[in-house]
Amino acid sequence: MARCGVLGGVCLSLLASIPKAASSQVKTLDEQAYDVVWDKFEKVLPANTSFEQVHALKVIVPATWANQDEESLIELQNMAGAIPDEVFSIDPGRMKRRLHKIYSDYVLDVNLPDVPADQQAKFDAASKAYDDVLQLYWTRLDTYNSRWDKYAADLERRKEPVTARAKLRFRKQYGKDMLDVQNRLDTAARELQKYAPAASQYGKAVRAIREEIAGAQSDQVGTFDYDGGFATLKAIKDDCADDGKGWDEIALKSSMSSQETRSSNWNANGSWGGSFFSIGGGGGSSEYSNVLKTADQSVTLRFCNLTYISLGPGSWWDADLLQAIDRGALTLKDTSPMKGKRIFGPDGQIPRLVKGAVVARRVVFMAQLDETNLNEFRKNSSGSGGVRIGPWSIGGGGGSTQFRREYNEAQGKYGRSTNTDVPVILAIITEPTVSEAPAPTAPAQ
Amino acid sequence: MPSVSVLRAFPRSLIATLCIMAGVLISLPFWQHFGTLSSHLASGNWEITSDNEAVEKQLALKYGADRTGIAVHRVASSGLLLPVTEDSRAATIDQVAHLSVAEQPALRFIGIPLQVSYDQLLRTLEQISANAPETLPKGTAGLLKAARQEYEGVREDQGLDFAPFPVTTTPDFDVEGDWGRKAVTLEQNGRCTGSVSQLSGAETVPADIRTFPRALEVELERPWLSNPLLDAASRLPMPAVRRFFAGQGPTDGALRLIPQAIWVLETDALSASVDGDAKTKITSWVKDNACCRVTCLERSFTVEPGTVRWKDKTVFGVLTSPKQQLFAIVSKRRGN
Repeated sequence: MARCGVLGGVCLSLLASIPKAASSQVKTLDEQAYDVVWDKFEKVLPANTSFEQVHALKVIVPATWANQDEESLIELQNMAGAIPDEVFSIDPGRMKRRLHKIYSDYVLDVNLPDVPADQQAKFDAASKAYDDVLQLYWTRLDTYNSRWDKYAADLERRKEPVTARAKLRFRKQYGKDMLDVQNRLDTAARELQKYAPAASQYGKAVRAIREEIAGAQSDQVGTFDYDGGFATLKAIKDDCADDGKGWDEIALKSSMSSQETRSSNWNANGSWGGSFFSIGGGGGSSEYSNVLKTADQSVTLRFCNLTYISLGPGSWWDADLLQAIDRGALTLKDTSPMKGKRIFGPDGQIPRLVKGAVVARRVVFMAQLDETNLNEFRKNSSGSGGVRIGPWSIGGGGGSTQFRREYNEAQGKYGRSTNTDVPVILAIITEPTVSEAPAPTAPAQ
Repeated sequence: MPSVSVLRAFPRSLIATLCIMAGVLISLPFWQHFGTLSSHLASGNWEITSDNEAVEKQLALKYGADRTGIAVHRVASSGLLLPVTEDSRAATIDQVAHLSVAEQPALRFIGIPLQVSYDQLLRTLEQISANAPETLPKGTAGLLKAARQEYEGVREDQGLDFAPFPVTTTPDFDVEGDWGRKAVTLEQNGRCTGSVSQLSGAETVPADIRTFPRALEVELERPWLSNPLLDAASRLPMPAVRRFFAGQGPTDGALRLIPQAIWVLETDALSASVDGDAKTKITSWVKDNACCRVTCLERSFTVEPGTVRWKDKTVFGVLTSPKQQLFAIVSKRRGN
């Protein structure tokens, strides 16, 4: 997917028209503006994410869990543990079910099968062998590490840097003993796996969720462990100076060159499609060409440290176990309310999972418009009417907006910026689940 | 952050060629761009370039105009966050060296760890070697055996200090200040009539100020990844092997573009030419640890005290900000 600059502008619009007749239709400026936003997001998503859906949030919210306090971890749990509808919404009324709750309902009701005596004997022998090799592994590792301490101390005495290269040299010299015991450990683990009854394998998952539930009960606030992209949020905690580095920018002007078609995996939480702008009070839309009328007018979106974070369940999550239940390898207790209910797939209890989010440290909207539109923009973005630029709302909604910082500049410019002490979430990425259960057979005629 | 200014096209078909020709004819006089067009035809890939002319020139000097064998992705246009300041570069090196890059103009990493894709290739080759050894060129079996040994030797985590699949760089990423010392000063990219002052701002002298970007090529080394084996494998005709080097696909092409080097922009160097007794003043500020703030138009920067040098009435130094940036990732391209 690529677009042309000055030289190639003609070529790609023609090339794009070759595969599909429909794509030769000229897009409206409003449609092209949405495309430009999509382009900007797509750049920060991991490659090969063709099955995911990107849901721009109408109301930008702060990623409060960057602070990792108890209260904000609940918000992470709400976001990462959501069971998303086809169109993701952060409306609490639409997020009643939580991933850890559904997971517990299934896993705690699973029937772990009885184990035959001969299989148990083989498993016990494999366990003993594994424990013996593991013991040897720890002993060798102690020796290896104490050798390294001496090696590193010697380097420092000789004023040589202790670098990755030095570690590699040491590893080549002394790693052979470790490699031998690691290979034996691998073999023992494979044997253990081979003879481990399903009850033992899945028993670990049951124990893990029980421990998680006990932990959630004891921490008084009921939080389960979720991956919140903490390292990335920490990396972007410093704000960008207005005239400094780290900004990604989209400048929307009266003419645009984007001509590309988009895949359909782009949702905007109820705001997708139609006019890109809405700057009149009462939520009325404004066609793109009525907002940006001349070449010197523009609306600029700026994102400080725009990036992607992964979101998802913590270490208690075992998708293999759920798949085993779904395909019938494990059964649920007869009394279980989840019995007979498929877990994954479009008709399952977990049809989709939250996978990640597009975040930015700060977002700025700056408008340079004619006097009438600029006054409307100023009035509504700071008042209860609200303004919408693409998928995002500014102002309105009873003062819940994060765009609390105002820019009043000379020469007919006005802008607003988010003003939070943590990064803000612009979009949530979800992915559909796929069930390993056999497809239901059609009833006989 | 340098802005993206040019998108260059590589036409793979006659249609594309004609389209670009049409674009050239419409937009600008044909002969003015003929040379550029020729280089596009030979370049072998799309490339998004930056407006940092001095660094672009350096890249052109290093890699030439023919980019069929490599791909150069500028990081600024990617939206990705890849910090290379001293306290964060280890994590960035770890990320860049353990992922491959997708065959497209903007920088996108393929989500599968490089060591996983590489292991899959080794397994595929081992299967071919066991079942149909006559189909492999002479020497491949030896390369494969050595590659497997190197891979297995670092596959496991050996305690806290010894992560699996280690990566080293030249120059070393973990020697303090080494990248800054080894960065090359490039052509002047800015000039202004400004001033040099004490850090406190108490005293100021006028100066003719020039700034020079400094760049550094850092090579990535993966002792567990055999480049000769990858080169040999990329020439094999079997579909099971070719898929690793194909252009597109969710699991295919995972070994097509492997990062081999990164280009880092270090903080700019500057020169400030002064008149009269200003040299004496600045020298005394350096001696008192009070040197120096440089102001150009409305922006001001501080100079790293240990870098200050004189030549006649011109003082040279290195700025303390902005921080180092990852400018580009250069990947070796394998496969057709």
